[in-house]
Amino acid sequence: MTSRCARTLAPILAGLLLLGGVAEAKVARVGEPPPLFALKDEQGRMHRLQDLLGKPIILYFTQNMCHYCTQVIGFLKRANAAYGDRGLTILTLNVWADSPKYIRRYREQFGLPFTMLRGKDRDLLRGYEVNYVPIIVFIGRDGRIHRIFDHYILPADFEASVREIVEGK
Amino acid sequence: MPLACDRDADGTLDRRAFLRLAGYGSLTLLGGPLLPRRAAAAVDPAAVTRMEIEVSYRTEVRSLPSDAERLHLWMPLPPATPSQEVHDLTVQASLPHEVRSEPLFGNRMVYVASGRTPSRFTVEARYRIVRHRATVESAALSPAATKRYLRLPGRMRVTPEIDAFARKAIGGANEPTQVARRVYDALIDYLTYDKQIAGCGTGDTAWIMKSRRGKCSDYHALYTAILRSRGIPVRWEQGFPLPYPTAGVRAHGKLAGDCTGAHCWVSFHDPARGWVPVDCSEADKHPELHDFFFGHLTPNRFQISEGRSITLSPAQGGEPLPDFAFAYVEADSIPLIYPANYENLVRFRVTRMETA
Repeated sequence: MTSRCARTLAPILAGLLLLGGVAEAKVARVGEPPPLFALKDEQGRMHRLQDLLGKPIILYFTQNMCHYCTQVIGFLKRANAAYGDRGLTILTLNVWADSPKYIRRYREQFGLPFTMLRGKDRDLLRGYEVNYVPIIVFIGRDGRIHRIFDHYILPADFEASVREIVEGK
Repeated sequence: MPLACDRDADGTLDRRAFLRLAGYGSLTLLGGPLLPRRAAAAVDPAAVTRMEIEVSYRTEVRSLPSDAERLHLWMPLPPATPSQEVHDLTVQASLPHEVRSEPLFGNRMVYVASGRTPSRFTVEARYRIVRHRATVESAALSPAATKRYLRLPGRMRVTPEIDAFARKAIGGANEPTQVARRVYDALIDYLTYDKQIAGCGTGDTAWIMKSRRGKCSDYHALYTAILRSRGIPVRWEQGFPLPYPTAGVRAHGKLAGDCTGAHCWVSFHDPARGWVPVDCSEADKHPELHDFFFGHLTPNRFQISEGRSITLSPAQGGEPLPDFAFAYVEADSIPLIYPANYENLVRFRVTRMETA
């Protein structure tokens, strides 16, 4: 029921965000709608953040040589297993990747069960102010950013953030 | 107190604690002790003139992607400079290797190319570093070198905000050393050293200016961008931090081997003086050494490469490297993933220290 509602509401919410007085943010800020993007995965399929708004979303910025980042993959996998059936959507963004081969290798290495996008995109990096990775952005069903972690994230903080966007707690 | 870009020693969450909490495996390569074996009498870091350090730099490739056809590894080797001697260099590798240099900055490296077997192998370089207290290095610059040291690579750019900051800081100064000193003072006043920042920076000067915080690469990326934009050549020097001399001559330890764990500093060129060394981030962390770190460097460090946005020899398939502190490995022109596919470990031991 929840996911069906989310599917129904997503385009409406996105439309409201874009047209209904809540302007698209230029820079990611807590409490505001996220900067939108459209990026390809390793299959060449385009993924638009706008199409997902209305679901709880985690955006995860990483790259191939980032040690810390690979640790967080474990958190993401556990969250995906626990909350995936409740609509949680995880998008990982490889800020080095400008070609599919980067992503294929990463996905293979970690057995990623969620989408990884080619994140080497100037507007994306500026919109989310990416200098250091990892960066983790939690977006609620209300289409707004609830939390941004741009340094260490503890398991307790991660779990609380996921519950906040999935359950509204 | 350890000298490090991202090391914590005072109770905040360090990467070791982070990994433990995250439930991940071996910690042996991470955040190793930079602590002394025994307490030593306090030594003024500015009075230390020479340190000798034994180094083992080891990279272990331990798995390859299933479809990998050909593997390439580049490991940086330390340069000999007026403030750094390199002795007794040996390289051991279980695969054929060669020492090469890239043409732009002259960085030396061990290069290994292999088919997909064996999927596990190790490369280790051992050497002894004699590091002197760095001071002004008399040198002239050719037009080609000047051009190279004025280039703004990667995301190192001067935005209107940075330009306004620079104008205010520099005021009416004209002489290169005077300009560099004013920017040094203003930058240290403006930025806050933030050891909480985890992960790997890109030297995005717009981000640094806006966030007003950073680690060594952030301080020096912004410093470099401003000076180069004013026509002052700047040399980026990438290396590793060692304990401050108060740790004593028996200090030893190991450093994390991904894109963190290294240290960097710069030298700017004044035609009237030569290369002038500067360490903005250490000056911010150690206010008592503020004047010292403009024109001098403590010897508790060693340099491993020069420059940013580096193309290796032979050229890597991926993008130019933001810096070249750690070994870099590709399979079929795609960067391998750290630490899933390979790990670096830099062990050091300080064997001798001399004071003025």
